[in-house]
Amino acid sequence: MSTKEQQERIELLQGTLDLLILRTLRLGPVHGHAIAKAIEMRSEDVLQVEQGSLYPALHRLIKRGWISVQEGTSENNRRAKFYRLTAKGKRQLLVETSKWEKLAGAIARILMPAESEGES
Amino acid sequence: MSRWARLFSRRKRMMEDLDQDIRDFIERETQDNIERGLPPGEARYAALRKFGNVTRVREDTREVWTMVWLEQLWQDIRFGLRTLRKAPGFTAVAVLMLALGIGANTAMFSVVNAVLLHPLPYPHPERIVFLWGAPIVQRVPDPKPSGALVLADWLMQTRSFENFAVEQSGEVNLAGADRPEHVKASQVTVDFFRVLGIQPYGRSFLAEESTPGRSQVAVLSDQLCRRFGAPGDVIGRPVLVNGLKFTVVGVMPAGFTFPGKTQIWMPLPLPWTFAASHISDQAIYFTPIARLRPGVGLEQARDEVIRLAFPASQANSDAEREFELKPLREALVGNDRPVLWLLLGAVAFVLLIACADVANLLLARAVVREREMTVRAALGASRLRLTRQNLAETLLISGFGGLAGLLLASWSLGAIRLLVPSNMPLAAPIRIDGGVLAFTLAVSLASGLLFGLFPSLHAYRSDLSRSLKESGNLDASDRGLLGRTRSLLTISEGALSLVLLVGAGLFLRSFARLNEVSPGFNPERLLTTQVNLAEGVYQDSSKRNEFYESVLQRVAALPGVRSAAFTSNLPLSGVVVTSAFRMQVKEESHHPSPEGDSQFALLTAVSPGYFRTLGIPLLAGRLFSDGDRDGAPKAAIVSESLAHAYWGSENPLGKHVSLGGPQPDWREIVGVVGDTRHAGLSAEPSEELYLPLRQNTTWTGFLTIRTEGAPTLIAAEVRRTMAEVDRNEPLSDFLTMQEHISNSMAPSRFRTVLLSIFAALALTLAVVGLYGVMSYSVSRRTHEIGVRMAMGARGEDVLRLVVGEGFKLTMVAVGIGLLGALALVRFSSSLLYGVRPLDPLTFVAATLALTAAALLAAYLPARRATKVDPMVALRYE
Repeated sequence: MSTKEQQERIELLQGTLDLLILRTLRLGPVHGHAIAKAIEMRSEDVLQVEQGSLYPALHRLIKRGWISVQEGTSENNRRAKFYRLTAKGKRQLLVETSKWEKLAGAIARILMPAESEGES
Repeated sequence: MSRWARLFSRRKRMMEDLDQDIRDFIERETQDNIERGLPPGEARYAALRKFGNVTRVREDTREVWTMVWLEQLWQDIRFGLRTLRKAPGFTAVAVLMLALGIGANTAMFSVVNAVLLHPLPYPHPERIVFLWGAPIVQRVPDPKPSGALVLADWLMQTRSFENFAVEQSGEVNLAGADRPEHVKASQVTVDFFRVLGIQPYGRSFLAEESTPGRSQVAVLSDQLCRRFGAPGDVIGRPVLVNGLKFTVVGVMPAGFTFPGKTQIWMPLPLPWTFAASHISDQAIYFTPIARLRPGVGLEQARDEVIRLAFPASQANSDAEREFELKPLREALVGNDRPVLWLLLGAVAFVLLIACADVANLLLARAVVREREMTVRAALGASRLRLTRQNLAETLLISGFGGLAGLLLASWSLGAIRLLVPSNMPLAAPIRIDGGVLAFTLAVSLASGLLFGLFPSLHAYRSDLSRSLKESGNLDASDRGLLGRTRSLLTISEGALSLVLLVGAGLFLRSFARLNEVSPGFNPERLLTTQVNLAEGVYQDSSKRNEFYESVLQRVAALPGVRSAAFTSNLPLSGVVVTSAFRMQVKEESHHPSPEGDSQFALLTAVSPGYFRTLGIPLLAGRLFSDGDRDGAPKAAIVSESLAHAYWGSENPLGKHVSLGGPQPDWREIVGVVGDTRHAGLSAEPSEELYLPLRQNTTWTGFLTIRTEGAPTLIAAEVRRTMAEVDRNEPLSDFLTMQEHISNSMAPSRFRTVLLSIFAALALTLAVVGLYGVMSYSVSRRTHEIGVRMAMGARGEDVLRLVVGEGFKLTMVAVGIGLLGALALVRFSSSLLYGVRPLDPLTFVAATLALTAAALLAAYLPARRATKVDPMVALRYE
């Protein structure tokens, strides 16, 4: 199974997946399959969402009260579970986003000089 | 519990959602794959493959909704239950001991809760205060009922009080149902219900209803009302109070009977001088009661009243210092508070002893289970896990103990309700309510943690590799830390129980002393009943005199009756009328008249035969005779202590007193009689002023009869005789004087019986504990004893060895216990009568009792030790 395509894909850390789910839901209620699809598409297939971690992650977010789930009818008239961001979740998204930016910035600052050192 | 139930049901719902979601996901993926051009079968297979292990996803998601610690706790509990079931003897003994301790605590706390902790059933009860003392008395210009209104008006000028009322309690004859009866009644000023913050159903009294002639309205208690019908029907209907028609305007909510056990409230003033032995218009029977404004403190209010009452020149007088402003609870509970806390403290000792016993049992078990624990530790169980496991087990024991204790407590509540003195004010009924349950839960948990601590501590000390190697017979560690811990526990038990024994001994001795106190008269073969004449019928004093004389004549003629008399106040009847009156003394003497509280004496009207009937000795002068009637010169008799207070060593005979009022109404003192104790056997004798009934005919009083044989035998006969005189006159119960005395001793009996029970429990638990330790020690030392006997030790040597060990422990316990008792007895000093807190006899007796019981507990295992067969013992290893 170790194709080239799969090697390029990156598995997500738990906390990161939470952040991406919250970000995806900001646009409105979405069902489970669409969340996975959206993350994969918007990351241009770099990020792969394991179903094994998507559902536990969704339930973890529900338990924390950041998202809620409700019954709904999807575009092709099928009943499905829609996940939606709660007010608490919206606040959490801001917090998580700024945390992520800090982390990414910090890691970038550490990595960049290393690259230049290597080049010199 | 409901939170967990919600959690579980939520988990179930979420898991169902998940299944649906997974199906949805796979269908969509399949659809996507079909759109990408895969054939349907393959598209579905690809979708399933992409999704991966459905079971795994379900498991992982389920874990989100699970609390690991909860499931582990459940495991611990199940394991604990299994271990306890495997040791039924140990479990039963431990649970029984705790049940006794927790049960006694729960029962005692339910009393404390009902009296001291349960909020009084009025809004903001902390702002309700009683006013007592001279400023009140001095402000009453004329102590007739109208004086109460003046007083109320005067106090309304103060800014500290939001509302102010005056009440006066007594008994009335109530007709309206089939038979007239005595009912506790209270006359109150308009704002009375507002002070308490509870309004009647219907309406309260109106301001204009305090004017004479318009005040024939009444508010009934819920209980009284129910006898006539539903509140809605009763309001507006008339009731006959003392022969006069009153209209019911309101009904109080169920449970409201303030003050005391009042059943009917009427406005002050009534058109007559009512109730409780009103001998004189000059006597003050009012109790002022007020509600403080929010934010006003007691001191502030007290200062204001005193500023208003006294000119600056009189500041700091005795009268001022005697003025008291008492919060409602303080006024109601008064002396009961220290008693209850003391008993609760005592019963806590019992629980501590029970905990020490269980800790000892657990320690003994810990040694036996040492290998089990060590093996489990070696297999990788963390200390935390092992400790938690131990804790789960001990908490189970304490939980069962708590449940069993709760059962014991609820069984004993009936007996406790009987034992609680009837005048102890209950803010709520004595029962096991939420507060008591919370207490029991907390106590069970705390004791579980307390005795569970010891084996856990021991577990931490144990050394893995050594324990595994040892054969399980841990003489070294047994003699060391473990043995010391167990001895320490045993010593504490003995010391605690000795403190309780001393306390119980002191209470028993005071109770016995109280029984020996002479009430000032002969209480044998005295029958009494309360009489309360209907004022409508007996408005005229000659009619009342006729009634009394007729009844006395007929009763005295009954066979088995030696003599009979009427009195307005009966000693020890519990109905002490604190008839405060300002006694004036004619300027005939050089002795200074007392000030302040001493101006208050007990005012009693009696028929001529009273002193002879009760056996109160005449000390000087003469008794009342039939000649002391209307028209004759007014006479008075004083009690010895009153004579002493007003005239010192001078002869009071021939002196004159008046009951105050604008026009002195002089009465000549014709006799001095012995003191009697009214408020209780332990109370000081009352300063009492007696007046002849014929000159001061009351509406109420007691018929007292000295009988030849058992007093109760003639009660029915007396009842018939009284009905012959007036069949409409309601009769109270007949009580012998001994019953009155027994009632008056109820508070002392209450604390004595309870503390004795606690001490007996404590002693039993401590002795059982010592017995357990000694038996264990003997069985551990079987080998050693065998060696000693093989070397030639005789049975009595072994006996001395073992009993000596128990004796040593006991002596240390006695030493510590005596020190503890010395430190603690002073808390009981206000509750003792005729016994000093450091009563040597009590201390010696308690010590002997503990020592004897302890020696017995050590002797039994010691005798078993002497039966050891050396050959068997040596092979015992």
